[in-house]
Amino acid sequence: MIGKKERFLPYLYIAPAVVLMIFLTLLPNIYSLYIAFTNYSLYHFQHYDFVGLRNFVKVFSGSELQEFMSVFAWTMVWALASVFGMVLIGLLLAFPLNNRYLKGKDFYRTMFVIPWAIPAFITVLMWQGILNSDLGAVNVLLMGLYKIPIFHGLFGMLDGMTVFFYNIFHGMHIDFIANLLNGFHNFLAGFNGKIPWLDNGNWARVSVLIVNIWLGFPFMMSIIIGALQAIPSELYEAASVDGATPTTQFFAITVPLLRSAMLPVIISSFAFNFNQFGSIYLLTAGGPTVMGRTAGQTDILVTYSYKLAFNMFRFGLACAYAVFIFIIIASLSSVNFKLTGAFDD
Amino acid sequence: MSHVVLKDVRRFFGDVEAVKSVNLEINKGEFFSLLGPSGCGKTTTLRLIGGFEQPSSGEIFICGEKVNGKPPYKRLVNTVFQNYALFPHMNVYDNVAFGLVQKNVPKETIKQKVSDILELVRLSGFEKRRIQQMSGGQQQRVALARALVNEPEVLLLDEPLGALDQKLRKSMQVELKQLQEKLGITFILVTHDQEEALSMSDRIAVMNEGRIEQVGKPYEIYEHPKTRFVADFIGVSNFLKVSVKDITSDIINLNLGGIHLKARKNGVPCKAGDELEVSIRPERLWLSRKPDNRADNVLKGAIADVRFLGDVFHYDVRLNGNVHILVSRQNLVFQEDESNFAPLAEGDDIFLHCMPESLKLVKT
Ligand SMILES: Nc1ncnc2c1ncn2[C@@H]1O[C@H](COP(=O)(O)OP(=O)(O)OP(=O)(O)O)[C@@H](O)[C@H]1O
Ligand SMILES: [Mg+2]
Repeated sequence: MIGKKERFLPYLYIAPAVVLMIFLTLLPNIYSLYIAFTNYSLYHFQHYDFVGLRNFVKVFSGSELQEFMSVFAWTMVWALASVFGMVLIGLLLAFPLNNRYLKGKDFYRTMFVIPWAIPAFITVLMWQGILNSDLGAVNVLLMGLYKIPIFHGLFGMLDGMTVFFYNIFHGMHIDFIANLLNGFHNFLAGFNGKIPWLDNGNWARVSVLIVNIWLGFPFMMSIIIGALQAIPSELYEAASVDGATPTTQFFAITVPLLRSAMLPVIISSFAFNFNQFGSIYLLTAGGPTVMGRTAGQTDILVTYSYKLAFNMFRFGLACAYAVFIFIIIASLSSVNFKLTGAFDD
Repeated sequence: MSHVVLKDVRRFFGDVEAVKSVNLEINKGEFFSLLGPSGCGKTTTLRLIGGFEQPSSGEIFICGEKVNGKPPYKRLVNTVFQNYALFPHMNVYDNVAFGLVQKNVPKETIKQKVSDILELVRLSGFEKRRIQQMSGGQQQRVALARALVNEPEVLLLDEPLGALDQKLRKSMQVELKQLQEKLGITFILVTHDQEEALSMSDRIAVMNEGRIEQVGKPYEIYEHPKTRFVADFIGVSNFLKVSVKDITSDIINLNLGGIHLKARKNGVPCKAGDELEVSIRPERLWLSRKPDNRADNVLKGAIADVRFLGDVFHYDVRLNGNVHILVSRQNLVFQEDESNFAPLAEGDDIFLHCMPESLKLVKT
């Protein structure tokens, strides 16, 4: 017989957490969902009205559609490239670190995990300094190198080759590659060792990706090392008895088992980076800005929605964006729960 | 020449000598067991035969061919691993077919062979099942099928039944033995379960601390343990410290703290005046309230403790000089000497008897 007290106790234990969640998460979210259906903004600050789906219609029409499309496209590229970069570097480091003949594993592992251990905002602010166009360590180094004749000559040669290939592709009317090469030539011709890491739109996108991948690869590496170690060595022995070569073993055992272990992590990492506010806001604040646009060139959906709310005071529209983000993340999570069976009893 | 031969094989791991000068000759078609306590080097010996480890010194022959330095797949050997080592991301068919696919056997042949072997291990119809959807016993049989489909001359099994529960283990023991008899393949089984080794094997090698203590048929190992370790590890034995009085043509006269005992010679060397140990099984002693003159050895004692185990009674009998002996008696309906026997209780005076054959001199 379970007594009254035993039945009541579990509720008592979770009560503080539930109360906090209701006031700090659930109610604000419901409130912002409500705001998404109002015209709450700087102009309707005290008296705002229910406007139905107007904010959502606005997102998908007129000039706002342009903003939305470019921000959404970059958000997808950003999240995909971040995860891809983290997994790639994680894999490249995990395999040697898992090799039993490597000496001093612990030292290397500790070293590679440091970016993860330092608070992210400190790392991002450090990178902001490192990537400063005039005084940042990277550009100071590059400008120093550029003064050395050999490197100077090297850049000249590279530019010569670019022009050479540009002429070939231009002659063949393959415009896509020709344009790319032309851009590269323009960069090289104007190059003096100074790269506008945070001031030029494309470079800024490269920079935020580098910093974000820097922040995220240690986690991926640790997960991959764990997944590799979870594969029993007997599986490889069993395969070797049957005459499987190391290459076959890699593709028949390591790859499929790693893939099934990594898939849920990759999906949640995508969702996490989709909403990775800190890396972007602290490094570029979404900039550089574009004339006549609210969204900067590195703005992703969350940072853009933040701007709409707290720079433009268009709370209704910002909340419509938030709802849209929520739908995307929620569907990703549900896919993930299905994959991992997290809701199975 | 025997089917599998180990000559003076040693294996070091750093300073640890896991296998110390092992010599073995295993015959074709034999069910051979390596039996010993944890850490005695059974797995290492098996892995040396399988080619997963190379000996530090010594030679290994399989089917008359020296295999030192050869990788596992170049030996006529296959292995069933302790945890089955089935590929979790493949179904039953792909697991079993794996080895044949590596050898580029034609698809049709693979299909035929896999279905034959699955029938042999009674898993027909399970081809498309995922490994996680199979029970422990079924996984065990998939592992067997995966090894047997490659038609090895020798099958190595490292504690293949270790993960199964008691009941299933018993039935798999029977199945495994029948399979081996049907196929006529040499089986080398590693186990620390003496009952398993005794019931399944043609011959057993008892290992201890990297050495082979004794090789023999199950009956021999149990009845004629050569060393104290074997007598102690296999079954239950009482050990008595004795000194040798004299030796006649086939009887050794012993002195156990003033009591005279007769033992049959069993090949263990000894001479008058030696201090050594004899072992005796609890079931080879019989008890009565009055001395039984049919016995050559009669000892006087008192019951110190009675333990009832259902099918047997265990009596802890104290002899003179505070020597304790464990005696077991079947819980039968008809005892030879019923009136005499009626419930023995703690403190009862009692006589212990045994035949000279039952007293075994052991090397320590
Ligand atoms: N790869 C290794 N490196 C170092 N020492 C090892 C290695 N493999 C085994 N040993 C040592 O060799 C000894 C014998 O090990 P082995 O695995 O052969 O024992 P076992 O008889 O199979 O024991 P168990 O019944 O517990 O499986 C042990 O002391 C073990 O610690
Ligand atoms: Mg073992």
